[in-house]
Amino acid sequence: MRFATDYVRYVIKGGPKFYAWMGALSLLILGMLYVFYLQNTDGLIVTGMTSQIHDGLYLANLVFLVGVAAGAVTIVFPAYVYHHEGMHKVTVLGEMLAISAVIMVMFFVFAHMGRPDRLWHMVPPFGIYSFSLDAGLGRAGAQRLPHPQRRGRLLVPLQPIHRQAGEPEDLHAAGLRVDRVGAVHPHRHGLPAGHQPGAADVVPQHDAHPLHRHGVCGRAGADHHRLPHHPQATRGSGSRTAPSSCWRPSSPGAWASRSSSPCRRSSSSSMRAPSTPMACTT
Amino acid sequence: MGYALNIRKCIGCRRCVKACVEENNQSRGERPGERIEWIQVLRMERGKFDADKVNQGGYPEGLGIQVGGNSYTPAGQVLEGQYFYEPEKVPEADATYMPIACMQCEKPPCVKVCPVRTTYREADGPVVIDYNWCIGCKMCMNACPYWARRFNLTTPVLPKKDMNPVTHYLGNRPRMRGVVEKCHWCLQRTRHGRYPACVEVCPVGARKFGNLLDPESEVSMVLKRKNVFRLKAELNTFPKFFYFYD
Repeated sequence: MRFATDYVRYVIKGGPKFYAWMGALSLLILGMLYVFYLQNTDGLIVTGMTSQIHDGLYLANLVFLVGVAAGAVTIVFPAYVYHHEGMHKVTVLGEMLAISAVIMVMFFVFAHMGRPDRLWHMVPPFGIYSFSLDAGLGRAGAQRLPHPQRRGRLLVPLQPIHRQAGEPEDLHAAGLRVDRVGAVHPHRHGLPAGHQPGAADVVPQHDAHPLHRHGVCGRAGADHHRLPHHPQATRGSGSRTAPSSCWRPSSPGAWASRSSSPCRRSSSSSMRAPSTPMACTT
Repeated sequence: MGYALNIRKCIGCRRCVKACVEENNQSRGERPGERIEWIQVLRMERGKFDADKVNQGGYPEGLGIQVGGNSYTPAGQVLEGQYFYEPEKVPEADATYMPIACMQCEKPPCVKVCPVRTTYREADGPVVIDYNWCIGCKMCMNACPYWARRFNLTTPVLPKKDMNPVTHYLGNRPRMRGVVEKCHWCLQRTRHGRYPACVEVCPVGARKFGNLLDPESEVSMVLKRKNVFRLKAELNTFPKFFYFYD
C-alpha cells in the first residue's frame, strides 16, 4: 500500500512542462479513441485497407515496436553478465521501454482486429481451450457432436437457425403423429444443416447410382431436406426423372469406409434410424 | 468433394465471378473494401515463339556470359492491374486466363493459424468458417498462399432484393462486419446434390465438380485421364482444386 501511494505520487509529480506534455499526449489518445470508435462503427474500411492489402500501419507498427522491445531487452545482458558500467545506467530505462512497447504492440493488434468485441473468444477459460469444450476439438468439433454429447460443451449454445414450419415438434404440437423415423428433420436440434450428424456430411452424387434414373433413391424419407408431409417425387413406376436432390453413392464400400459415413453416425447416435440399406451393406 | 478446372477452355468471361457474388450474398459495394469477389480470374500474358530471336541472347556483351537465343517471350505473367480487367470481348487474343478461388486444401494453412479455431475442414472436404465465432484477426488471410480469403471491412452491402434466401450456416448466409469469408463450394447447393453456381454458369464447361471418392465422378475421371496440376504444390497444402488441360 505504501509502495502504491509512493508510486502514484512519483508518477504524477512534475513541473509545468511535464503536465503540458502529458496533456498533449492525452489529447492524442482522445483522438485515437475517437478514430477507434469510427473504426468499430463503420468498420476497418476507414483505414483504407482492402481484402488484398489487409495489413496496414497497425501491423507495421507491431513489427517496429517488437524490434524496439527486443532491442531494449538486449541491454540487460551486457549490463548484468559483463558488468558494463554504462549499460547499468540505462538498463531500467530499457526495461521500461520494452514493457511499454509490448503493451503498445498488444494495443495495435487489438485495433487491427475486425471484431474486438469478440476478443473473449481467444481467452482460454471462456473461449477456446475452455474446459467445457471438447479438448482438441474446439468449437468446430463440438458443433459436430450429436446432440446429447454436445449439450454442455458449448458455453454459448447455437441458436436454432434454419428452423422451419412443419418440423416434427410442430406436428406433435398440432396433434399429429410422426410415423416415419426417417423423416426427422435435420434442423430440429438447432444445429445448422452442415453439422447434423449423418445427414449432411455426405457428398452429393450427380451421376450416382444405377437405380437413380429409375427414381429409386433409398428408403422413404431419406431425403432429409424434404418436409415430412411433402409428397415423394419418386412416386409411381412411370417416373423416369429423379428429383435433383435424390442421390446415392455408387460404391457403398467407399462410403462405409469413411469416418463420417451415415451408417456409423447413425449407429452411434440413437436419434436416427439406420440409414438406407443400399448404402450400408458393409 | 473435388473441383477441376480446364484452363484451356476458360475464356475469361468472368460469369463465374458474377454468379458467385449473386449466389453467395457477397458484398456489392462501390468502395474498394466493400466489393468482395471470391473468384479471381487472372489475365495472363500469352507467350510467343519468335524465330528471329533464335540467335540473340538477351545479355549484354563483354561480361563473359554466353547465353543462347531465347525464342520465347515469357508466358504466364500477371501484370499489374490485370486482376480486374474489363475486356470488350473475350477471349482476347494475347491473353490466357487463370481463375483462382479457395483451393479447399487438405492441409489448410489457414486452419493451422486460426487462434479461435473458427475455420476448419469439414469431413466432406471444404474448409469452412463459423462467422459467429470469427474475431477478424486476419491471420488466415496472411497464411493463405492462394489469396482466397476476403475480409468484410465494413457492413456488407447487400440489398434486400438481391439476397439469395437459400443459405447455409457455414456458407452463404449474410456475413457481418469484420469477419473473414471465402469460397465454400456452395455448401447450400452441393450438400443438396446440386452443382456450385460457378460450375452451373460456366458457358464453356471449363469447371467440373464432383466426388473424389467416387471413381465414376467427373472429377475422378479428369484426374485419371487428363494432365492435372495443382497450384503451389510445393507448399504441401494438398489442394482439392485441380487444373487440367486437354
